Amino acid sequence: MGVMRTKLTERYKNALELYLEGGGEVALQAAYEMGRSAIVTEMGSVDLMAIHQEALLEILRTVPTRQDALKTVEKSWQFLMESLSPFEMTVRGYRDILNTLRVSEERFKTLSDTTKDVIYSFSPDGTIKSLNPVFEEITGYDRSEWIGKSFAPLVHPDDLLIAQSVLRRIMKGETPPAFQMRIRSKSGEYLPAEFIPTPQMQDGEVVGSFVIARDFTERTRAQEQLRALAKRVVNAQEEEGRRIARELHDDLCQWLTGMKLSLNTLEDEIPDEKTLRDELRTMKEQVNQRITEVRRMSAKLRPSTLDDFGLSVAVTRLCEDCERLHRLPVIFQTAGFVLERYDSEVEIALYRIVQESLSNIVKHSRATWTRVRLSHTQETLTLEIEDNGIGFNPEQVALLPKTEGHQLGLVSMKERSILLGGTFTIDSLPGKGTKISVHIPLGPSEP
Amino acid sequence: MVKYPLQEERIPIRTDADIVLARQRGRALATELGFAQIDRVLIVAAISELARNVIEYAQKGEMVLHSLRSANKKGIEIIMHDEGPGISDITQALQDGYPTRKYLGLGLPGTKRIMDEFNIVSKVGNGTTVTMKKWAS
Repeated sequence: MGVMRTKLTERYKNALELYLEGGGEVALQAAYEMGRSAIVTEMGSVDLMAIHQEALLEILRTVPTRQDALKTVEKSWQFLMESLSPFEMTVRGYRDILNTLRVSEERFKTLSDTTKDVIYSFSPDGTIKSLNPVFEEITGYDRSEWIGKSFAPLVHPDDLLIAQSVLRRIMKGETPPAFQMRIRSKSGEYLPAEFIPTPQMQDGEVVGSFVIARDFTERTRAQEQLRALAKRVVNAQEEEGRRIARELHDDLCQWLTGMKLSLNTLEDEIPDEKTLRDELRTMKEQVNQRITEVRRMSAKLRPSTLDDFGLSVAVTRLCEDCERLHRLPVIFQTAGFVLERYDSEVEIALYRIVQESLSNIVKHSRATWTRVRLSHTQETLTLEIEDNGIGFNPEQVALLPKTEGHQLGLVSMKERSILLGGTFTIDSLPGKGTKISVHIPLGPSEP
Repeated sequence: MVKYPLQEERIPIRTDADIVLARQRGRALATELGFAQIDRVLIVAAISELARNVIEYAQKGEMVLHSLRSANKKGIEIIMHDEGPGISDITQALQDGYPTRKYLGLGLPGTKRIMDEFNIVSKVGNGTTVTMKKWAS
């Protein structure tokens, strides 16, 4: 700077002398250019005025009279004004920029103060530069306790490594993705939060980082619940699909068994031709019916009886079929004001539960008596399936590997109940029979 | 607003000497129109800045001076025109600061600030025309 300034002073003096000798606009243009040079070399206007003063004083030494001196000083003023005119452009520029900066800062402060997120900034060494008021609300600390201090003690020790690696990435100018970290509150409790960092740039260098932190606690819980629910829904859907397939299969098996019995009977009785033809016709009709039934079922994935006649009727049919096919007395009861129709979700769920339960009873319970009871009281629909079988330990069943059919069945029944906002309980003890209870809440809008 | 066609002056801009002439003519007209000294200095500064741009980017161009008369005031109109490469992003060109301008304020943005009216038309390959006005208070 010293060398440049000396050179500039020399130039300035020469140009000023030229001007004073009548150099006119050429000299003034030179003044302008020197002003520009000063700005470009980052000198200030005061520097230039000092240069002018130096140059002028030297020139005045050679001016003979006081009057001439005064004239010289007056005239040189024009020269000075020209050399300072470039600064006028920049000064107004600074004002514009300061204004813009002020507006921008105010906007940031408003955002920072009114947001529900914690906004903070820190410097490359991890020192906290700023914290917004929300920090105090969330952590219970006073901001003054942490500004100027290292961020590290606020971080959960297990999360410190992540925090540090993120800091490194930011200092390289990267914008790392959001990450989770636990922050210590004044009470000592650790609060999980999601952190979204951005590098703070100045003149192409990273001078720190801005971070937005969102309180994660609420979100975590909600998200976990959502995930769990979604999983249950998927499970239920898969299970439904499998059970449809099983149902179709069972239906067909039952029917084939029935057919087989009929054929056996036919064989035994050796009827005459006409009777034979009638029998065959009946069988053909039954086959067609079955095929239609199966087609309808696979198309709608719902038993047609349920769709056509409603829950009570469909369950009655299930009970009747069970009794007929497996020689198991099944009593079907209704209590309260059981409606003919319910919400289709409710109908299919309860239908499947009855179906599965009856299937389990037949396969495992060795019961000699079963009762299925549907009751509708005070906006709750209750399904109870009781048997006097050998019972089981529900907890033991839960421990069985998933490939065992009944475990999946129980879980699915429970899933279906929960998805409807209801409850599912099994009361069973070895030797004491089994009672399955399902309570489904029905909204007040149910007719 | 009436322009005085007799007082249209055209000055070719090609060399540093042309800049001197442009400043001179601009200063003379501004004095004639009754501008205060400070404003005269700024008008001439604006001419310098634009003329420098012409020489640096377009090699040659032209300045046109008009005197303006409105209801109760007089003014000066300066048109700096060139057939140079044109400016691709005018918004950026009118912005201060890094990275295009390390030293804030000079050039187009600074010139705009010291004039009362400022208009720039530029198209890549089609040259640039800056029209600026200042009113005598």
